Amino acid sequence: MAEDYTRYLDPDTLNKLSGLELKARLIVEGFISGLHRSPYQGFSVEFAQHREYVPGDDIRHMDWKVFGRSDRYYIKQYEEETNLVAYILLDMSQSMSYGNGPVSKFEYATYVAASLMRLVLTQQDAVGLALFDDQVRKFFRASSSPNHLGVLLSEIMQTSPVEKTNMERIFHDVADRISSRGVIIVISDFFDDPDRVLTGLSHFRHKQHDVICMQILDPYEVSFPFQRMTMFEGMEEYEDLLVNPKALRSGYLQEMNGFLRDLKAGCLRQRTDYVRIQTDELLDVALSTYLASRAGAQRAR
Amino acid sequence: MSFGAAGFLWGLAAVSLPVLIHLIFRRRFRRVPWAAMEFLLRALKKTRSRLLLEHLLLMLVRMMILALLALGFAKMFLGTSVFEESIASEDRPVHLILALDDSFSMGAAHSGGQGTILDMAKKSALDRIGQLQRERGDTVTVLSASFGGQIVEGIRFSTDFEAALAAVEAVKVSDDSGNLSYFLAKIHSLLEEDRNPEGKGSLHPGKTIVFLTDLQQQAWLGAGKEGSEFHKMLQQVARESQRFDVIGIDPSSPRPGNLSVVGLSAAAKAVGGGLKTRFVATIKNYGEEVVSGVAVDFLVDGEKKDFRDSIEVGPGAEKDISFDFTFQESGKHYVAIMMEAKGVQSRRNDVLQVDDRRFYAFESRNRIRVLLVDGDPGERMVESEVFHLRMALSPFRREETPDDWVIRPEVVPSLPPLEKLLRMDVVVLANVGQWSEEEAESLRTLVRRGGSVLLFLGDLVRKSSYNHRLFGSSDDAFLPAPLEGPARQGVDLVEESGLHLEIEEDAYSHPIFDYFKDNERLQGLFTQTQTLNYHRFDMERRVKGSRILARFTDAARSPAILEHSYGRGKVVVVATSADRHWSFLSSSVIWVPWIHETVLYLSHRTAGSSNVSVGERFRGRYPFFTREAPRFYEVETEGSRRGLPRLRMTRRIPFDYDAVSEETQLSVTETKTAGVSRIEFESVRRTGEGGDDELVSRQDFVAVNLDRKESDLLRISPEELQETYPGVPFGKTKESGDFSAPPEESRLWWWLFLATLGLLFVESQLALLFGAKHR
Repeated sequence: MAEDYTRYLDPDTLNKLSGLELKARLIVEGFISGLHRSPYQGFSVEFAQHREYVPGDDIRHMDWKVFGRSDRYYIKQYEEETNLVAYILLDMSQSMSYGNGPVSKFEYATYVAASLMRLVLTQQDAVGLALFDDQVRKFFRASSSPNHLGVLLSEIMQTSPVEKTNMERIFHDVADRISSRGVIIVISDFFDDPDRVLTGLSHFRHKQHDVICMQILDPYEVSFPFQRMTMFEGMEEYEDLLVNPKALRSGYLQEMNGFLRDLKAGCLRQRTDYVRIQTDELLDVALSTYLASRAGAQRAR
Repeated sequence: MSFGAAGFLWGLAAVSLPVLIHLIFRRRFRRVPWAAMEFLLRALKKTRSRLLLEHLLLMLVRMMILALLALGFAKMFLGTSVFEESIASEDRPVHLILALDDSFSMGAAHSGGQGTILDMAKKSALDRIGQLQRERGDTVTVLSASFGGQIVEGIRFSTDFEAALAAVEAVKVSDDSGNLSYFLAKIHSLLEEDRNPEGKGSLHPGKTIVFLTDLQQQAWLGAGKEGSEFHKMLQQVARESQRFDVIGIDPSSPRPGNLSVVGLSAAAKAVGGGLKTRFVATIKNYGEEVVSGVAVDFLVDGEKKDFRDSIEVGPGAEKDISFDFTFQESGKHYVAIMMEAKGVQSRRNDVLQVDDRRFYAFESRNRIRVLLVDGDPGERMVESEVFHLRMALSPFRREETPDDWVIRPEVVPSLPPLEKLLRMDVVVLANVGQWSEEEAESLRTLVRRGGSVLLFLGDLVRKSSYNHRLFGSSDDAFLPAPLEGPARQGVDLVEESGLHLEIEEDAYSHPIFDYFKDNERLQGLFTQTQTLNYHRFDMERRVKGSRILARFTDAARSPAILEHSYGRGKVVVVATSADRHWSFLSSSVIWVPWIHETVLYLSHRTAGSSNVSVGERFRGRYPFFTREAPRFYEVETEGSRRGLPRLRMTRRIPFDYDAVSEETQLSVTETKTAGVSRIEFESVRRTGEGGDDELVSRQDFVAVNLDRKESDLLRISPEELQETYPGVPFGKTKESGDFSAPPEESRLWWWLFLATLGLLFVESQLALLFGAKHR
């Protein structure tokens, strides 16, 4: 019986495995095997040839006209295109290291990045990577070489969040480095001034890039469910803070929701795709978002 | 400002609890690394001042709740301290004589709800002792007022203040009523004994006498008014001391409400043999409000037998409550009444509980031996003077009398010797003509010892013999009044149809007419009974205290039935005959019940000797030898409305044998506690002529009751005290502060408790409001 790869979309399950490449492969396998449920199915591919049906193939790809003519089952196969360049900008600032559950935001972000990179390469597209905190720490130009994935993933695995972030400057820097048009995928918690973030993102838009903002948040950051007296240990140079979280909850949620609202509205204004992902969600959301964006880019061409 | 229970002020420390809890909770936090600190800081910045305000407000309210609770429990009063007028500032030695009223009325609850009056008096006394200075040469003497006044051993002009403090602490409310005259005499003798034997002055000059009392009006006025010996002694004591303070504790409550069981006795027919006996308890309400919801338990020999619920007693009124009980066995018994005021209102009107019980000891018998002395036997029985008496008392032949028939009459032609007479409960003399000296003395001895005589007169009665032998002098008269001889035809007896009897209006409550009390038809038959002749009495020489129970309807309304107490017994004289020669009384339908009621009444030997007041000597008289010293027990019934009494052997007491009266006498003086005591002993009973002696176990009960006067808690005000005893230089008559007498308006603690409740409500609402905001 074929393995059910969809279970690898669960960050908890994935966390138990070692090796980012393996994780990326399992995520993509799981995602693809679940694509029959996805509304984005077949958007990005062109028909190539027929092959004979074998058990396990999706019958929706059955060519009924051929069956009507030959009384045999044939599956339609599609030719994938390789004309897209995707850059993944992965935030490795210290705020990304927070995680209430088994998976931190950064770990989750690496899963997303790795699986996206694999997916991109699987589709014969080129993928590049930028790791940043308050500056661009690593930058890898886009390539469609299958070996490229290993290089990128090993770089990701060697990094860990340490510094604070300054997105506006980073985005300007990266935008200057990328010459060809493509898809820019920013994976971050975007804990920065929304105006500055949006200013930075607008530079990408200005250079005709499709931009996808994947905001990775911990569920606790969204719901703030703390009850007891808590010492919040600040990251990114913030001082520790001892407060009664019950008393502050309402104010915090107000501030957080305001920030999220402003960021989302800003993205929409400059036609940037925005998706908020919590670290307890399945990983296919990120991949689906990417595929939708890619389909949009294909149509635009 | 002062406090009734200052110990609770320690509770003020609890004010710091909210702060401590806050600090403890601040120390007990968990650490969480946090990325979204920017938003947290922004939220904090916006809400910091509001949160701080809410927090402070809640903490302040909580601290106030705790502070108010502590002050409330400490019973905070407005006003100054009681003891601001301190004796500590004296420059000469202070010889303090502390006299504590420990009579049972001091056990009443203090109007401020701070324990009893005695508790407050002790507090006051302790404070005074605490101000004494050994270096200055101060001394202290402690006296208690009960049982004639007692100086606490070792605390007489003593410098051992610690012992004095302990002695005051140890003073308890006694069951005595505290005789003020005796107590004052005790203080006076203490002052006399302290006179300097070598000259003028005293060994301890400058004495300060402080008498701490409830200023009970009946005690003071009962001791003597202006010009009395008591008044003079007050002046003398005040003169001989440097200062004489009579301090009324709790004067703000001039008439505390109190319910008391002031009486309990048998309705004169306490017998056994299956006859119902009625006991009457009297409850008095000394207060000014109607008290309802009073429950009363009736106990026989320590066992609850009956109860009454929801009794109501008006202000100042007495209420009689009767209980019936049938004693199957003869012997010594006691009954008890336990009262309880239920409900807040009732309890408020019964501030003294010790007088909510009363005891009554008595003897019930299943044989009443009646000796009928026939003064006119006649030839046939039916012509006998006592025929109708005999038939009324027992309509059977002697050998056919049923075992359970209580009254056992025996007819004799003349008075038997004293030895036999003393075995009789009632002796009925019917138309006996004359008396020898010996016979008269036998009758006197019988009645002195508690026996009773019912005398019917008649045509054979010689007035000279009766007046000489039985009346004698009015100081020792056996008869209620001397005889004047039979009524005279045409003078006293003007109606041919004869006369009738009329019962005195107030005599219907008398036990011998109790049967007719509520029956008008029977009363009519009684008064319609014809009388043909009677003996007249010389009423001018009538014995003081004798009582006329019925009269004839002649012009002079001559006495028909008279009663007279002699010694421990009773004498009832009927002026006419027991046969039909002079009266048709014996032919009337009322004859049988009336004779029965009268004999039952007379057979009831007065229980006075078995029922004494606290401090009164009990004298037991037993017509037999006791083999060994009786053992004396106390039956504890106090507070045991439901439980059985417990026996506690206290001591063996010696007895005396009086060879003249052939009685064993027992004298118990230590009747200091209200309750019932049981005396157990073995006596020697002779089984027959020349036979062996037999040992028989016997018991007797002694009921010791409180003095009912002490239950009246009406107080004399300090001003009235000064007016009643002019010329007595009382130093102080009330405390300078309000320690013992907090005026109503100064009782802050009630308001504090109310404020606490209000704040609790505010706190819960604030917590709800702030909590709702934070959710």
